[in-house]
Amino acid sequence: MIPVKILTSEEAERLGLKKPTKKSGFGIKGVGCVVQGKHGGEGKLMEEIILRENGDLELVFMDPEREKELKSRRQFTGYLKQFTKIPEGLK
Amino acid sequence: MGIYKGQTPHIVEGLYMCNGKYHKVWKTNFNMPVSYLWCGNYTMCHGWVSSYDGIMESTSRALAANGICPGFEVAESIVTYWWCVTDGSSLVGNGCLRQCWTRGSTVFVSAATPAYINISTPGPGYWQWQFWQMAYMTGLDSDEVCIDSYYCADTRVQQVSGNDVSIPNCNLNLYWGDVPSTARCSSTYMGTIWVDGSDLHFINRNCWEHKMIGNYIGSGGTPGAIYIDTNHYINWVGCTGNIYRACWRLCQFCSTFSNSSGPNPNPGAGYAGALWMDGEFGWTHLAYIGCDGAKYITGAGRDPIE
Repeated sequence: MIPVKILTSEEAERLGLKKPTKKSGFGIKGVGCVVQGKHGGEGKLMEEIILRENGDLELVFMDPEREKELKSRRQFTGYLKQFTKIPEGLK
Repeated sequence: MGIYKGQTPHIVEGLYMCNGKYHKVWKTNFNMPVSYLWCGNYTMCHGWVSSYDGIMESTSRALAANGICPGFEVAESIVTYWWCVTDGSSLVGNGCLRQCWTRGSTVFVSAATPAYINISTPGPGYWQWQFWQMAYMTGLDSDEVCIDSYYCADTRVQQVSGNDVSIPNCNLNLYWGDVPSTARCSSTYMGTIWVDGSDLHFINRNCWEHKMIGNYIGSGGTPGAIYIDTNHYINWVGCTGNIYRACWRLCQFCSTFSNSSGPNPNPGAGYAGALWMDGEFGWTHLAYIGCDGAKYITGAGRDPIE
């Protein structure tokens, strides 16, 4: 058992006990995905997106078939511009 | 060929995720970190959410009768926007995902997120969907739920450019009555902590008095003593010498709603036992250093990830 030593918030900050505020705000506030399939069949995940609390939009996953299809419509590069982070393989 | 779109909105107390996690809002503290809220498997019907807990739209509630106090979340607006194309169709456009809480004609919190919708099918026999799933909490505060009134979760997608990706608004209403006062006490008392009867009381950073009701674990303590046990829970001794342990605690994550990248704050065991009213997140919780040197948070209200 550890006896409690009550600090003021300012004392806690001065001692470096508080988590830096700048670290908060990077959680996830929304998710998006693209799913494709055939009529009567199961869907396949083609793309996964997360939206961070700070507004960053991250592409987590893109199926090669989705990449190929966007490229065939000449929209791949423009589509990727919305993301602040994309998988290494797509760069 | 076809193009379809729509939304599925709810006002809920909590969410069961596809990965088996439960995210609770009702009676939890403001903006508590929640682990893996947006994680799991995908289904065509639900996206990330397997089921909703406590759907409350078009109902009425007496808040005070349910032990709500200022600084507690009361509801979450959760919406899944969807667009679908079939058999060779495509849909390419920019929209703005809007989600807000209103009281009468007053919008008291709102969020707007740009979204680029781009879906197309290889040809006949195929379909392709795009989903967006968003959540937005509201709680008892002078700026949010603060008077007896009708409250509304308004969700919509506004058109920005390209093909029409807009989705008309949906308003889900409910009436909250017996809403307790959100008045704050003097800032002079902020950070004060004391034992009253069997409960641990404190004045949080928002200057609201919160009361923690602990689990009885033994007797024979010194009334008023507060300490951290080896499992990193806050313990306190009630006025009759009975010992109580906090119902929950979280090792702090780096996010309001989910854990995310970044180091877990660990000042070190040399600081074990340090306790203060934290100004992070919703300003409603106690923070302390556990026996392992990590930062923990606890408070009144319910465990957000029971």
